[in-house]
Order: sequence, then C-alpha cells, then structure tokens
Amino acid sequence: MAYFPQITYISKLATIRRERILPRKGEITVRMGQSVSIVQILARSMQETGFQMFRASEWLGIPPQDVAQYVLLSEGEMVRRGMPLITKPTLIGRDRTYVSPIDGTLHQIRHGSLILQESPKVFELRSMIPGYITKIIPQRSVVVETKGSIIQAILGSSAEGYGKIKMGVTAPDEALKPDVVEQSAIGNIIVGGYAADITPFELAEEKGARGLILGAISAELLDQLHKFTYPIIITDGIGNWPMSKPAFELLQESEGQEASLFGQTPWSGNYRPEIIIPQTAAAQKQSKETMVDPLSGEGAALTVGEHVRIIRGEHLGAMGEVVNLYTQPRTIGIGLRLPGADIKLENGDLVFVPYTNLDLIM
Amino acid sequence: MTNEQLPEQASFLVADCGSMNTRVVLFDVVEGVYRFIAGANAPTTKEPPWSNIMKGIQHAITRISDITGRPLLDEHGQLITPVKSNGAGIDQFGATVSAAPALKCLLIGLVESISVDSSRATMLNTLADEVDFITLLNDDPDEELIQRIVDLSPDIIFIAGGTEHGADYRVLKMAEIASLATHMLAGINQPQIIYAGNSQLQPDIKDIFGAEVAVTFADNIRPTLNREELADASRHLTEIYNKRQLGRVGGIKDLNGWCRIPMQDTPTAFSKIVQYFAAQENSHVMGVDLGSESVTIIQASPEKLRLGIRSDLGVGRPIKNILNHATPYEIRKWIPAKVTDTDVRDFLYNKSLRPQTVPTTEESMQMEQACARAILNETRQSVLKHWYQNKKTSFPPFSRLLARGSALTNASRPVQTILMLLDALQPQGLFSVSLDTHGVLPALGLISQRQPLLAVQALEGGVLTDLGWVLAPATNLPPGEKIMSVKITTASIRDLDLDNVTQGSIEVIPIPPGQEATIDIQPVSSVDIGFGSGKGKKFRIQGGAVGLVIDGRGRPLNLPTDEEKRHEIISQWFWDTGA
Repeated sequence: MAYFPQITYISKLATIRRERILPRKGEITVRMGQSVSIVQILARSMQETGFQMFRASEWLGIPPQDVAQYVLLSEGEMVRRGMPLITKPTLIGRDRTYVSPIDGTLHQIRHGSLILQESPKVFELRSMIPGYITKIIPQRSVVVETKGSIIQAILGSSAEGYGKIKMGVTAPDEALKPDVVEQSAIGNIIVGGYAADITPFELAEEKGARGLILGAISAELLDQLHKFTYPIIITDGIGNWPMSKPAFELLQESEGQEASLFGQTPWSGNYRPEIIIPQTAAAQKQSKETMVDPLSGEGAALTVGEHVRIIRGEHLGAMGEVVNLYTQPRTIGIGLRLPGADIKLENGDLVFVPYTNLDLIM
Repeated sequence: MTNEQLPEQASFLVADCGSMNTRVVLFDVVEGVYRFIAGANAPTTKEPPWSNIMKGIQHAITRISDITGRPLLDEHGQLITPVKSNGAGIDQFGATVSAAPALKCLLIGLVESISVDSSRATMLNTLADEVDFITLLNDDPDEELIQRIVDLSPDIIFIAGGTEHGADYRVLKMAEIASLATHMLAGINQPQIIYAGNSQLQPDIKDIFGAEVAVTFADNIRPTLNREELADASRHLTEIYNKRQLGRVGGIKDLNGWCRIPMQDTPTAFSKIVQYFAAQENSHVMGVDLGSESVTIIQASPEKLRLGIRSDLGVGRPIKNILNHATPYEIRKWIPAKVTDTDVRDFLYNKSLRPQTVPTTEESMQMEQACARAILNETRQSVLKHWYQNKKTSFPPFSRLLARGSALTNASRPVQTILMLLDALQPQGLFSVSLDTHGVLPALGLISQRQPLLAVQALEGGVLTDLGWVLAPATNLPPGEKIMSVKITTASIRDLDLDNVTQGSIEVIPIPPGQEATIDIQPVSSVDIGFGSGKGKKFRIQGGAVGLVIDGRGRPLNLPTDEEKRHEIISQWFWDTGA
C-alpha cells in the first residue's frame, strides 16, 4: 500500500521546468526552443491602470440618458489632460465645460457617468531563469526549462528576483545579524538561519540587497514581509526552526553563484516558493541529475532508503532515512493510532514517525 | 451522471474529497442487510505535482481493495462496475466534495446591520467567504470603490438592499459601481452577480449590468425589515459554487463521469443525514464538522434545517485565520500548561503551512485542541448571531450531537472530544454524543436521498462511535453551591447516588457501550433542567466510550482571568474527566 508524502525538492542538479504566466491575456514574444537569458522578456500584456469616474448627469443637472449628446468624444477615444470632454450651453451664454483630468482614454459612458481610464502600462514577463522554451500557450504562458540546483521552501514574500548568493551565517540555526547585512547586502542574496526582529530586513532594503533567504522567522514579522521590494524566502518554518541541513549545505556550496528567487506564497497559489541556481555545463557533468517538474502530474511514493525530514513533533527538523514502512496503524506515545514509518536519524536513533509528519527530500 | 432509480441491494462506494484528505467508504449487503464494509484515507491530490483529485481517490480505493481483497479498479485505474461474478467491482459510486476553494464574495448593501448582515447569513449556507462589503455609508470616492473591487477580484458580487415594494433606489447607484468594476474585470476573473434585493428594481439592475454580464436574480433576502428569506439566494449560491468552483478542481469531470449518484458538496450531504436523524428520532439534532478548510454547524428538527458554514476557518490551512477573531490568549487559556502568545502564533502559522501534520506529544495535542475550541466557539457565535438575529446566545436544547472532523475523531482519549465540544459549543440539556470515527456521515447523507434503507441499516449496524451522554444544566449559581442530585442505575453500577452535584464541577460516570442506565435527576428549586424550576425527571440512556458526563460548570462557561487560577481550574477539569 503506497503512501504519497509531501515532497520537498532540494537537489544539486535537476532539470527544472517553470511555467511563467501572464496576469492577463497578452502577447508571447519568444518562440519554441529559443534560448533565453535570466532577464529575457517572454511575454507582454497591458496592465490595467487607475481610472476616474465623473458623474456628468449630476454635474449637468440632466437625466442620465441625455448626457451623451453633450459629450464631445466617443467611447474608446484618446484623451489628454485639459482636453474638453463635455460642453453644454447655458442660459447666460457661457458654455459649461468639463475637461479631462488625465491622459488616457474615454473608457465608457454609462448611466450618465464618464469613465476615464489612464493610459495603460505595459507589463513585461521576464524569464528569471536562463534556459529554453519548451511550451507556449498562446496569449497566456510559457514554460522555461533549465538545469540547475533547486531548493523548495515553505513561505515567500510574493516578490521575485535574482542575485548572487552570500552566506550571512556559518550555521543553519544562527541568527542573521544586522552588521552582516550592512556589510554584504549590495547586489547580493543574503542567507541567514533565523531573524527575530525587523532590523535585518530594513537594512537589506536600505543597502540594496537582491534577496533574503532564511530558515525561519518569528510569526510577528509575517505581516511585514510584503512591504520589502526584494524577495524573501523562508525555507523551513515559523518560530524556532533551523534551516534544513541539505538546504543550508547546498546554499553554502553555491555561494557566489547567481540564483533566482520565486517568492510565491503557498497561501495564495499552488506553487511553493523556490530558489533556483542555474548550473554551468561543467558542474552538470559532476552531479547526478534528478527531474523536478511540477507540471508532470506525478508524485512519488515513500520507499525504504529514502531521505526524509521530520516536520512535527519530538524530532522536529531532524533528517533521517526510511528503514521500515508500516501498512497498519501503530500506537504512538499519546495514544493515537497512526500509519507511519521507522526512521533512522542521523545520530543513529530509530524512531517511528506518522507518514503525515514526514517530508520526502528529493 | 444519471438520475436513474437505484436498484435494491446494490453495493455502494462513496468518496469524500476534502481539502487535505480523501476518504472512500464501501457499503454492501451482508446476510440480507446493508453494512459498512471498509473505509480508507489518502491525501487529496488537488495540488501539484498531481493537480488531479482522481489520483487521491484511486489511492484510497486501492487501499480498500488491499483491506478487503476485493478488486475495485481495473488495470487502467478505472472503476469496475457493475459487480462481476467473482465479486470484483461495485454497483454504485457517489462523491461528496469540499476540496474546491470557497467562493470569494463581495457584499453590497444599503446598511451593514440590515442588508449586509442578511447577506452574511446567506453566505453561511454555502462554501462562501466574505472578502469585503460596501454600503451607502462608505464615503470613499467612486473610483476608489471600483479599484477596490477590481483589486479584490471577487467570484461573486452579492447585491442586496431595499424592502419589497419599497421605494429605496439608492442601491442602484452602488450597482452602477459594481457594474463598472465587473466590466474592468472582463477577461481576468469576471465576477458573477447575484441580486437579492427589492425585486421591483430587477429591470434596472439588468439594465445597469448590460447584456454581457449574467445577473442571477434571487428572492429578496430581506423582504421586510423584520423578516429574512435566505433559501432562494442560498440555493443560487450553492449552484454557482458547484458550477464555478468545483469546475476548477482538476479531475472533477472524470469524477463526475464515475458518479451514478449526483455529486454533492460535503456540508449539504452532512446536513441531509443530520436531518434524517432529526426525522427518525422526532427531535432536535445538532451536527458539527470541524474540517480542514471549513467548519459546519447544523441544527435540524423534523420541520427545519439550519446550516452554518464558515469556510474561512478550519484546522488546516486556514487555521491561522482564527487570529482575526480571537487573541492568542483566548486560545491558550484552554491549555493546562504555561504557553506564551508567541507559541500560539508559531503553532498556528506552522500548522497552516503544513496542515497535514498530526500532534505526537501531549503539548502539541493540547495546543491543537485549544485551537479547535477557539474555532468552534467563533463558528458557534457567528451562527447564533445570524440564525437568531442576536436574540440568543446559546443553542436551544437538542437530543443528539453528531460530530465529525479529524480534530474531533483523532483525540488521544474520547473524553477529550466531549470536553472540546462542551467548552466550545456550550450546549445545555441532556443529549447523546456520536462520533463519525469512520468518516461515513456525508456518504450516508448522499445515499439516504436515494436509498434510505442503506442509511437505516448501516446506522443500525453501529457505524458511529457512541461516546455517551451529557447532562449540562444552564445554571449560574455561586461556585460550590448544590445544583442537583443525580441517581444512576445500571447493571454494573447499582444505585450510584450523586446527591450533591455542585456549580463549577464536571465529572464522568463510566457506562460501557451496550449498557443501558436510568438516571433520575432532581434539581434544586432554583434550577430548571427543562421541565420547570426544581422539577426533576427520569431518563433511560445508553453507555458509550465515555459514559455519562455531568457538566455542572454552568452557562456561559467563564474562566478566571488570573493565570494561576485558570491553570488550576483547567487542570482540575482535565483531571476530573480524565482528559
């Protein structure tokens, strides 16, 4: 009886496919098979901007259906700031005129109101990873494939970005100190174990950091992450968690290399936050490759010999190897009967852990 | 999906696809009667890397095959149907689903305390969340209101306001704003419009939104200032949920193709079985489902069904949302150990990020159960407010409480489940508590609408876990004062006399499952247990995994604010009940 656990990819070398999606329909600017750089624009769409509403019938003192006869433009026409939009003669001989407060278009005339839309801005969807185009959905999305290292995380600040990895700590449970951020922020993605207050985040913003990667943060800081312009990625949890050993070691090995951060939050979408470190051809030759493809539709069953991390309970954060899988539930210390596996921890201890509390590291 | 008449004595396989877990249960005829044969769980596979709920259903069905030795899927993972001569396969398949995200609803009304409140009451009847509301009192500029709607990108704009045949046209101005925002959202996520206000304005509303936006017209939810009529608007909302939200779940078309019984959302199916119990027992029955991504409270009598769903709460991903309604103190106050506000916040966010995890230590279990209490309590307060328009602070007495959801069924000891329910729901009277340990109630609710015999026979077969009975008078005397005496007679404990049940006490009298007992309750002259002050009565009750719980703590249940005293009293309750 197979069990399909939560999977976290922490892999030195993997083939990674990422779907890049436009927020609304637009134009794809790359072709199938094309090689793309990290900053390559893959697609564009027009981004809705602000608009203004003017209740013309109230201003003119006439019924809504009579407004159109005094409007000087048609729906969809361009307008410029100061351009007359409505003119109505008055009894005393002077015309009453309303001029456009913005540059843009006359979007609609509805129910006696004029809706003016500011000139739309162009949204450009960048690749954020170097690679090849392997799939295009017209007007919507592009799939980029690359080879490199990947670390899947638990929480992000919604932003994306790229920069060089710079270790700010020497141990996975070490707090990121403000003076380290101050010294190493410019142009870098700084890696720390833990942050208990807002100071390192503010300094990173001030000094021009390209990103922050932390093992854990205090719950009190969660609501503030979105205000920073650079991406923030939390790899493991909230509170007192060390960064997982494989993630920390991979980041240490990758110090100085360029990395892409995708800080999507798990609460707002289906994709997890990720750190992708594209690998050179030489590095690719030295590593064993795995396939990481969230678009493939296949999960992995837990099997003996696999590496797992305990994500709740007495051995929180510990890494281990699956040595036995149970199909029948077993009674744990507090009396619950749950299906699970025997895990051999790195210190040699053997513990029974419910399947639901295991994270399969691939 | 077909509506054909189901044949007598068919085997049934029913899947319940929740947000985190998928449960599949098998019923078949054994020696001439329907019985629950087996059930199995698998993680729901609606998210990457699977993005298809069918995988989780197939995993759970495979487990049932492993348990029973009965092949149910062919080599391509398709259902074997009907049953073959070698016993493989199944005759009927059905599904209940709550895996789809709740509808994001923006409420527009004239006044918050009238039309918006009635809209909120409508939201409680289905898997819908209020993302914001706009009323006439809102003095933001129109363009800011439009921008707000565009930014929120709701699934539904629910417009209400104006009594029937009234002359209040101000809602039209707000409909204009909604119409403009709706047009701005065309091509992204254009919301659907439900209008449930003054029906005389329907032609104007139709005109405002134009031909390109579909408007659903429902009966006015507030036809007069003193009357609410939510049924029609609720029905429309549920229909939109089934079409719009379920349609977004990967694999739902394939699942629909398997279903011989029309698919239903889980809360509706659960409500049907609660209503069935109420009709069978000719009494009031409560149902509680503490789910991963929603909480449901149901109140049923033979004549009336009330449904209260909070899809912004749950013990899975939305668990952190309880902080929008309760302080960390209001959660940790239920824990008989020293815990900080930071511990509570850390727990809530970590559980929200890894909702599938289960507690393995006493401390972690207590934290999880404290959160369950806070979530149930918040749901209780909101349903009471909307069901009774702020006129009641407690549920009317009922005879049976049906409870389900993993936080309730996976307690270390059954008495923990009863204590959670008592602390959070604060029910009163004398009632039995049954637990849906095997996760069969939505399936039975679904089947009972087509094959009631199966529900009757499966329930008679003992598919629920009876926890026992609770006696909880709504007293508010000084602590330590006598409230009643209770005499219990069973085959095993003869004439147990509790002649001094005092205010503030709680105790458990074990009555094993399968045993009957007679309880003779005699309240003191100032206490009413439902038959008039000082009037007592004899009852026959059945045993269960817990027995009889005599809850003399009173209603409302108040905890001391002093930290030390609170620890002491909570520890005492845990100790006295064995929780």
